Amino acid sequence: MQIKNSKIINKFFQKSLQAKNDIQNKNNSIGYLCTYIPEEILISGGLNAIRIRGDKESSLADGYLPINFCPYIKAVWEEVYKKSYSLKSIIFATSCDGMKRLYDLFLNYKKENPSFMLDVPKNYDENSVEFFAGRLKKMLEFVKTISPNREIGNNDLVRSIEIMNKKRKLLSDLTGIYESDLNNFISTSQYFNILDLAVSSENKTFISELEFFLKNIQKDLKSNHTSVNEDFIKNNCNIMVVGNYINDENFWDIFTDSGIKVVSGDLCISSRYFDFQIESNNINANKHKEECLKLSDSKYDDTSMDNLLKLIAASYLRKPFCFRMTSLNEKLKSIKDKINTGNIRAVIFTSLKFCDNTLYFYPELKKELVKLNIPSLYLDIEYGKSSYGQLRTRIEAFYEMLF
Amino acid sequence: MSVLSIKTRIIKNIQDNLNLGSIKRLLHTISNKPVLALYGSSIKSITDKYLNIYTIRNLNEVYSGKYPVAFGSLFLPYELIIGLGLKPFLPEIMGGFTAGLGISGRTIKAASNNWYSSDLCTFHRSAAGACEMDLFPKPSFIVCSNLACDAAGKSFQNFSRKYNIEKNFYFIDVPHDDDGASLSFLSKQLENIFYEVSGKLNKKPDIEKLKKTINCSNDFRKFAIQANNIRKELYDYPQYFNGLNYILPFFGLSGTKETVNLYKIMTGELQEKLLKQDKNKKMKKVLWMHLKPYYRNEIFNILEKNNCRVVFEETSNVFWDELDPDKPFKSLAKKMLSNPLRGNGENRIKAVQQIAALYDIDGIIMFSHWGCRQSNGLSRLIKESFNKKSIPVLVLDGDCVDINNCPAGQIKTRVEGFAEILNSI
Ligand code: SF4
Ligand code: SF4
Repeated sequence: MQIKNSKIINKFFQKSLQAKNDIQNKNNSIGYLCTYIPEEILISGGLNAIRIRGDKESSLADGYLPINFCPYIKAVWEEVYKKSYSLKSIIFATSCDGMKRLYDLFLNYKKENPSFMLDVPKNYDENSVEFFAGRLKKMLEFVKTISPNREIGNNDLVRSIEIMNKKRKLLSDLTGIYESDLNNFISTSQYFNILDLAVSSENKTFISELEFFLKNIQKDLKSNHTSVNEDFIKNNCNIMVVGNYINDENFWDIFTDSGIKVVSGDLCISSRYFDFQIESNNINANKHKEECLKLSDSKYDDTSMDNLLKLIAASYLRKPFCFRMTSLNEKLKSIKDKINTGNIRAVIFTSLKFCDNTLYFYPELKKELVKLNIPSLYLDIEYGKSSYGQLRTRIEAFYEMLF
Repeated sequence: MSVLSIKTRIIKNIQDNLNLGSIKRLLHTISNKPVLALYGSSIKSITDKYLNIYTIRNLNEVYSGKYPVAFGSLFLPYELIIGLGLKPFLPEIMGGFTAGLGISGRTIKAASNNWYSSDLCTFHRSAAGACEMDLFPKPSFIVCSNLACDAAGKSFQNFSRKYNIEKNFYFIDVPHDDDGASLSFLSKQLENIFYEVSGKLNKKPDIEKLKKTINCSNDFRKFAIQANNIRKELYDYPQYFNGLNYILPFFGLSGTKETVNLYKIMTGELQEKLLKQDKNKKMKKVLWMHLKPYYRNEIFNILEKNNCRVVFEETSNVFWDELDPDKPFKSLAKKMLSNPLRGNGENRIKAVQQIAALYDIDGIIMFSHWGCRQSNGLSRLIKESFNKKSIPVLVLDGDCVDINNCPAGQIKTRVEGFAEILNSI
């Protein structure tokens, strides 16, 4: 089967890969740093939105930030500070204490570059939604000042919502196929590579390539008469990975090389990015509609700008929760639900080092896992600079222990 | 019996019988008037004496089980908690206390045994350990905020699960920017808490009591400003005076009569010291940023021996305006928003620069507490901003709670070196 070969991913996503490289040099992109920053708004003025991945070879950043600081933040600073950026602007968010300090560095040393700090509430009640909608409005006004189309109308925003809904839907489909694919057509590395491409490439190109890829793979799966084998699922050791911004090819390669399949990812680049939809009567209805519109359906049945922003605000604050939110019980419940429905046998909790939000969550998760009798492995990793040999040994030893 | 021997015996007692029952009994015993009088009689400074007695009494009440207790994080508007008739209990401060009592090794170990990473702040880790060891009184409510950091919102929510009071957990989301929308967002949260908690306590919302608390807080504020003004000239402090010892009343008990009294006494005592001070006395003036180690340490003695005196602390800064009792929620929200630790680092830098100018500061020590991302992440910019004004900054790496993470020798060398620099300017 062709799709086992990673080169095939390169073939299917050739244009997206190209676009990913080009974006750095084109002057029509806006960078952002957190999944709570709605891409819908960033792209509504005709800009491309990309998640800044940072330069993983950070060394200069150590002179600006303490030793015990999030390696992703350091990598971002490395990239942003060193490179003469062609990005139009960078959108920060109040994701965590570290991000706030990163913004301080930016304001101090990159004064000439336009930037915006989006204040993202940690609660998700009506008061927080209202407040967040107001902040999104400010962000929209900012985006207007740097966009090619200086005016952003309701229709532009609706179109952007549709684009993002489509991308999210396709990524959910991909995940469904990947997780139920028992023949390993898509490896762990390939799956996470595609997720990375989703946030670092050009939307239209990526969406059409992903659509084409999914059609092909579905055809392949059908022609091979592959069907879900319940016995296989039961005997297979499904591993769930829970963590923060884990976007490290070398890390995923450990799983691929060892033949370990990560079937459920609760990460910034996985469910937290795409497992929700923004829906109102004017935008295609779907299964998540009720969740998005819990506040009051009637309030969202027109598309005035304020209502659209409120709809986006509500949807983002209630999307699959990040550890930064005050949703401890809901978060634990969603992980437990995934464990039950996905036939998960073990959990690997992976945190980028020094991420307080993630580290404070672990004790409660661990307690729950112990109660459920689910073995777990705790790994804190550097961003692209870990000692992979050691990680491999630990992961393999853990996996063997499960049988 | 000298105060030291009483203190030593209390500490020994806690160390030897580390459990909730013993702590309760001990607090009950030492809160007895004659014992307190004996304890207080040997403390020279009247401010220090009042602080000690007041803290013991307060903790005895909190541990007594007679009042509803609310756990709270450091920078809450405690006028709200006290106005609701709740007894505040600050786990982060208790984290500091564990260091002073010599039990932080055990509490931190208990946190590790419960999967708290050693990369986290030890104020919270030690508190989490103490919570796991059941050393805290059972709270009825937990209220916290993201001022100044992410930690309380997370660790306190874990506590709410431990005590099975998730429904009584309140997180106050303090916005990043200070504008009209932030003010109304924050006031609404405070108002909601006030009415919801009143309901849960089966009480009619008592706005009059809240107003009284706010008036008390305003009185405390006035005296605190007076004390701070005196400190602009003062080098000769009462024995053991250290502004970093007053965090509990300054933040956690603002709105009580006792805190008003404390600051009134402090103002009087400092004023007296100022009058007696040798007018020709000059020392190098140091501003202390962030918190200090709460176990026994030599830092402040080394400074004094080397002709340097901490004349002000970042945490003693009265950063808020007088509160308006007729607009309680709005003015408490304003108080939170005016905290220099909110928002961009520029707010904090501006605040400390103002202090440095007001107090004619010669040098700054920024204590870089292990795991405190919000503070340490700003150290480079703070250093640079003072370098421009030729004021030296010492970023002193250490740990406020875990003595084992703070090598005394290294600290001594660095503080002495810094004092030498200051004296050479
Ligand atoms: S991984 Fe954690 S510390 Fe790093 S940016 Fe994300 S939330 Fe902040
Ligand atoms: S020391 Fe820093 S990390 Fe710890 S509680 Fe205080 S502000 Fe938060």
